[in-house]
Order: sequence, then C-alpha cells, then structure tokens
Amino acid sequence: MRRFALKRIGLALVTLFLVSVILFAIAQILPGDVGRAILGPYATNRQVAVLDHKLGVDRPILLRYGSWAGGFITGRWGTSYLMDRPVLPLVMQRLLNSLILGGFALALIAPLSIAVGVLAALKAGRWFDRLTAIIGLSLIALPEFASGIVVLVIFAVALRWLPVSSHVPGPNPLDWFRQLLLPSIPLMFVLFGYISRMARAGTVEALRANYTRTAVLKGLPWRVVVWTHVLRNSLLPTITVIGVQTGYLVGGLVVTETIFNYPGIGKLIFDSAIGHDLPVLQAAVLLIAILYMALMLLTDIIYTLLNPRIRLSV
Amino acid sequence: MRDAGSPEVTAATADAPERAVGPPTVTRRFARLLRVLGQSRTLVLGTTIVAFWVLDAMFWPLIVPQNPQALNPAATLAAPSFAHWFGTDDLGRDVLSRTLAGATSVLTVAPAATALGLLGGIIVGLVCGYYRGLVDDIVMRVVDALLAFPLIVIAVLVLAVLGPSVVNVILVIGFIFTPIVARTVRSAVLAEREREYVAAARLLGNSSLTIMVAEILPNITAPLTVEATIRFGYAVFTSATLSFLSLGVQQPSPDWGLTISLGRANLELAPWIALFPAAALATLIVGINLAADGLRQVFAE
Repeated sequence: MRRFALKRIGLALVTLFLVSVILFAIAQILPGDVGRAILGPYATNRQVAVLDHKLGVDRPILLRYGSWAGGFITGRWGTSYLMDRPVLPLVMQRLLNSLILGGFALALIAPLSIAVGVLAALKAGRWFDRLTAIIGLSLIALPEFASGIVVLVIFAVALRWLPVSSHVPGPNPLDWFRQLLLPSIPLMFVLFGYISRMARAGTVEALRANYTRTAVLKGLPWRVVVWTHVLRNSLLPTITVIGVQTGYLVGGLVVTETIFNYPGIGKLIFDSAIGHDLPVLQAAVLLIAILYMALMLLTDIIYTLLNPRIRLSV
Repeated sequence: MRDAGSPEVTAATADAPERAVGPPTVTRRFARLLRVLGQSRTLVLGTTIVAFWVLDAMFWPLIVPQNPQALNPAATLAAPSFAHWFGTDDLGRDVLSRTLAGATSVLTVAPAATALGLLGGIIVGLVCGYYRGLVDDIVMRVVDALLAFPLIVIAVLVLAVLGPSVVNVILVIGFIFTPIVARTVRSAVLAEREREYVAAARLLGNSSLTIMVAEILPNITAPLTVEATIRFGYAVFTSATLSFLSLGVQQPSPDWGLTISLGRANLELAPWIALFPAAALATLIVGINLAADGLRQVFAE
C-alpha cells in the first residue's frame, strides 16, 4: 500500500511539473511585451524597458521559469498588474469564495443525486429509471450560461425572489440561500446528471455481483441486502466521481460566476486572462490544477484503501 | 474536466453472421445498419433534433421571416407578437430570424473543431497504442498534465493569447480534444493489437503504418463513432460558452452564445432576447447527447 501511494505521488509530481511548464509556456507568449501591455501605446520605449526590467520580464526564459516556480512554492506570488495588490491573499480569498459556492451546490445536490441514482438502479428499466436517465442526460448537456439565464429570468426577473447579482453570503443561514441558490443551480444541474448516473451504474453492478446473490440466497431480507451489501459497494465509485467533478466545477465556475457577478476564482481567472494580468492568472490556474490533481490522488488512495480487492492486489 | 470516463465500448464484431446470407454489398450493409440504428428511440429522436438544426443552419435564408440583421428603430425591445413571434432586440432586429440564423456559426465551429480533435487524437492514440514504450509513457504524462486543467480555463487562457476569433476557437477546441480522443483511441488500440489479425498482417510483411491505418483503424470505428458524437456535443457546448464569454464570434453575428451574452443587459425589459437562443442551444445540445447515448447503447448491444 505504501509503495502504491508513493508511486502515485511520484507520478503526480511529474505531471505537476509538466502542468507548470505548459502553463508557463502559454502565459509567456500572452502579452508579447508586458511593459507595453501595461503602459499602453503612448509610453516611450525607454519607459517600457524600465518597467520590463523592474518586473523582471527581460531576463532569460529559464531563469524566469525558475524564479516563478520557486516563488510559487515559497509563497511569493508577486503583485497583480491590474489591481496592484499582492496575489497570494487575493487568489486565496477568491478561492475561498468559490469553495463556498461550489460546496453549497455539492452539499445540496449530492445526497439527492445519489438517492435518485440508487433508486433508478433498483427500478432498472422501469419508467422512473428511463425518466431520470433522460433528465440527467439533458441536464449534463446544458451549458451553464443557458440554464443560468433561464433561472435568472424566472427567479430574479419575473418572480423577484432572489437577487440578480450575488455576493459572498454573511453569517445568516438565510442569506446563504439568498445569495448562493441562484448561481449554484446551473452547477447543480450538471452535478446531478453525473452523480446520479454514477450512483446508478455502481448500484447496478453491485446488484449483479455474486455477493449480492449469496446474500439473497442465504435468506436475508431485501432491505438488509440493499443497505449492507449493495449500497456499501456501489457508493464507492460515486465518491470517486464526486472527487473528479470538483475539477469540472472550476470550469463551470468561470461561466457561472461571470453571469451572476460572483467574486470567485473562476471570475478572477477570466478577468485576469482578458486583462493580461499574468501573476494572478498563472497563480490562480496553477493552484486550480494542483487542487484538482491532489483531489484525484486522494480519491484514488481512499478508493484503494476502501476496496480490499484492489488493496491486496497492489 | 467534465468527462473523466471514456465510453466503455469494445469494437463491434457483429458483421460475422451476415456472411452466410451473401456477399455484403454496400447497400445491404447500409440498410442493415439503418435498421439496427432505427431500433433505438433515443437515437432517432436525437438525430431528428440535430438534423433540424443542421438543415436550419444551411437553409435559414429561405425560411427566416425577416433579414436577421435588419434594424428597426420603430420597434426596439418589442414583446413577442404576430409581427415578431419571438419579439425584437434592442436594435429592433427580429429575434426569431436571428435565432434561426444563429445556428450557422455554432454548427460550423463545432464540426470543424471535432474533426480536428479526432484527427489529432487518432494519430496520437494509434501511434502510442501501437508502439507503446517510452514515447507512449511520455505522451500519456503530457496528456495527463493537459487534462488537469479544466477545459474552459485552458480555452480562455489560449484565446486570451491568440485573440478572439472563429478560427482560433476551432484550433483551441481541436487542440484540447486531441488528448481526450487520443486516450480513447489508445485504449481501443491496446485491445486490438494483441489480436491474431494484427499478428497475421505483420507476418505478411505489412508496414506498421499499413497495419495501423488499414487493419486496426477500421476495427475501432465503433468506439470512435461514440467518441466523435460525444466530442461533438462538447464542441457545441464549449464553442457556445466561448462565444458567450465574447472570445469567439463577434458582433453583429446572430450566434446564440453571443446573443445570450449581449441579451443580459436587457434581461429585465426584454428577456426573450436571451431566452429563445438559450432554448435553441439547449435543444441542439440535448439532441446531440440523446444521439450519443443511443449510439452507445446500440454499439454496446
């Protein structure tokens, strides 16, 4: 088990290195000339050169990569070009806001999706199964901005129940729903589709398994079989999917946060990409990639720990 | 990344019993294929919806009630009525006409991007799956690294570099799809390369290129078709999202994503400007996904 974990962590570190190289390469060709991009077309070449030197973008590329990666690891993330603020607290604050929004959506929709998925599997082939499959499929496919616009029109414009633009909620639990419900609906649509589909697939597989047949044949009541034999095994892959989906969540957040004007990391990434704000962009995207990979690694290891067949075979 | 799992479909080898009936002519095979595909109601429904939008994208100039670009200062933000079924936008343009005309841009970008991603993915996947070894290891690491970025994030990044344009959107989506398709192709090739026919082709002295293209590729068409349909759905999704973020087609195109984005300004006064393109986009994407799901079921059986 330890060898397995070490091997996975090693591979993840290699991937992480490649991720940082790819990101750095894309970001480096981004502004063409950083000083020129900041100062605009009317600045003299001398002013541009001075600023380039001050920002350190006139140094050789390998050196720049080294100082960027080193700075990222040691927590020196630089200063935002656009907002003239230190990047580290800015990105962390926005990440926290996004985690609040994403966590809210996940907490509301995960139990429902799992319940629907399991129920669909128990009634495989019947109308409930068919209906939820079609609904799930359609919800996965809807772009967040399309469903976001529709819920915005219904709940904020027509019914005026909820605000058009959302902030980070205060401590009042009612405020959480008021601020977060609308922007989290597009996310919940997609999450519902994925999680319920996985829960259904896992349960169907567990229902077909030999241990389920044995449990039924030895005379256990159906309820006991489902709770102790089927669900325990079928929820495992579902948990993995919830882990993997947080990666999707960030992509969805870029769109959702833009529509609802919510100050999260998705909006920060979009704004800094449009505004060519390199330090913020590089830090935010790398942080997202690291989080995603760490989560994948963690779900992999948990999955292995929980599943004796895989655990023993490693 | 939205789609972590690749479709679990193995190459269909269902042609075998047909040989007993007679030589498989092209028409007979096609008729048989149609009959099998027609049995899936999901597939038929999805294909019908997609066919509607494809026809609309090609022939909208014949069916639109008005010129989608025609301004009408006398009737701006008009509510849906007999004159304007879907109402008008802030410049008095007919929303129905613009919704019908808006299918063209997304149905140009998405197929082109899908084709590009498939081409790249097939080449990378074939080579990696066939040769294995060090190249395979390195390429798969890079693929992993690329997949660690959420799709939209990397697209936004690259488009900020290249500048917003239709061609760039096609290139970016094609580029992002390449590693995803490559993974599917690679795993299908891994299953095929151990088969006897590959060994036989090798013994006959065929070159590796011939074996890959003429022997293995035709045998992985089933997973490839499913992958292509799923990719197409994501291409529509992604290109619409990118034009929503103003990174793709620019004004005055009636593109759905762009129109929805601009319609947000008048959401309180004239929600129909954004609602109808959103509904159109939703039907197209749901149609593609129904078709993909139907195809997957047909091939699985």
